[in-house]
Amino acid sequence: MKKRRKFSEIYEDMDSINKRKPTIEELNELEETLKKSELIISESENETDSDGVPQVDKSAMNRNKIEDINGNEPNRI
Amino acid sequence: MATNRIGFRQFLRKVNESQDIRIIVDSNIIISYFDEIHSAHDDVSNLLNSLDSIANVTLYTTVTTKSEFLDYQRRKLLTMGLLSLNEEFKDKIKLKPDCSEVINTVKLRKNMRLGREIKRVSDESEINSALNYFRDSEIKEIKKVFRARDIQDEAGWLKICTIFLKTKLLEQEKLLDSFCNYLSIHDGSQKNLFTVSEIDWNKATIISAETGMGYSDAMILNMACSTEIEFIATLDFDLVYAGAFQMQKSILLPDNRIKTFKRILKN
Repeated sequence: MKKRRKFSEIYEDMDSINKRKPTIEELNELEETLKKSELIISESENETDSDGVPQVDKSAMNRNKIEDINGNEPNRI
Repeated sequence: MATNRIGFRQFLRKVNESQDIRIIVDSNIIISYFDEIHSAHDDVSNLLNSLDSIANVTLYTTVTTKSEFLDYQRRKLLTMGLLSLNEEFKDKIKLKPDCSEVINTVKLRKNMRLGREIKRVSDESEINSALNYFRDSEIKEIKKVFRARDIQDEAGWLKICTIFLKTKLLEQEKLLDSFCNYLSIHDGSQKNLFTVSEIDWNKATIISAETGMGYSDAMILNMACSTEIEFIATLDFDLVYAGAFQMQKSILLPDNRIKTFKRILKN
């Protein structure tokens, strides 16, 4: 049986893999893919509207919209 | 037929320099050695690193244990990766609200589970480290939201796996392969370890059925019964309990757990 490395050395390698961060290139790739899949806020959505409110995923906001027992939206003026 | 239960410290005191020691390790030993937040990490690290510096130690386990470890790592790496999308990389990757919300919801649930566990156990060394990570069902819950909206593909989710999981898990599998040997009666280099010509897996079912222990542990015990390997290292009460009825092997345990087990068995 071939000689193995020290347990502590194997631990160090395992631990550094756990803690390794993605590279800038990997993050760019991820951003690009998520953008194509419409999973991140696009630049146009990220811009603020005339009231200064970020225009983030309004479709998602509609999906999560809460209505009270009478069907009225809360905080509606 | 009594089984010896030996505390890690007591065992280390008995080990001679350059002694050949063979140990079958349970999945919880491997997991706790490699996870620094595991409650038994310090005990297990001290045992294995000390043994490594004194004796010629060889670790054995089953392929089932390997799959348990890799699955633990899968959950850990995905949890860390998904959380980092919402925290460390949130300025770079601006997730849509439903994507970041599902991660936050699952994170909150995980933290509540962990909080309950901390309140429940009297001894912090009893905390289950797996509670620090998302459950498989929760990873699936997040995965669903990370599906593309207009096209029926999984590109977004698959890319997340590529970045946070794939390379890491493959590298970690190689490291585990260099850490321990997988018991196999068909491996020529292990021929002298086995006391039988064929493993009777029905015995594992009998061990599991007689004691109620998990099948993976029963497989470890059955494998141990079929070899000359003298020691089994575990954190698991079940393995100790069944070991006491099944065979002549020495079970290595953290010293504080031996006290607890003795108290339970006495009662």
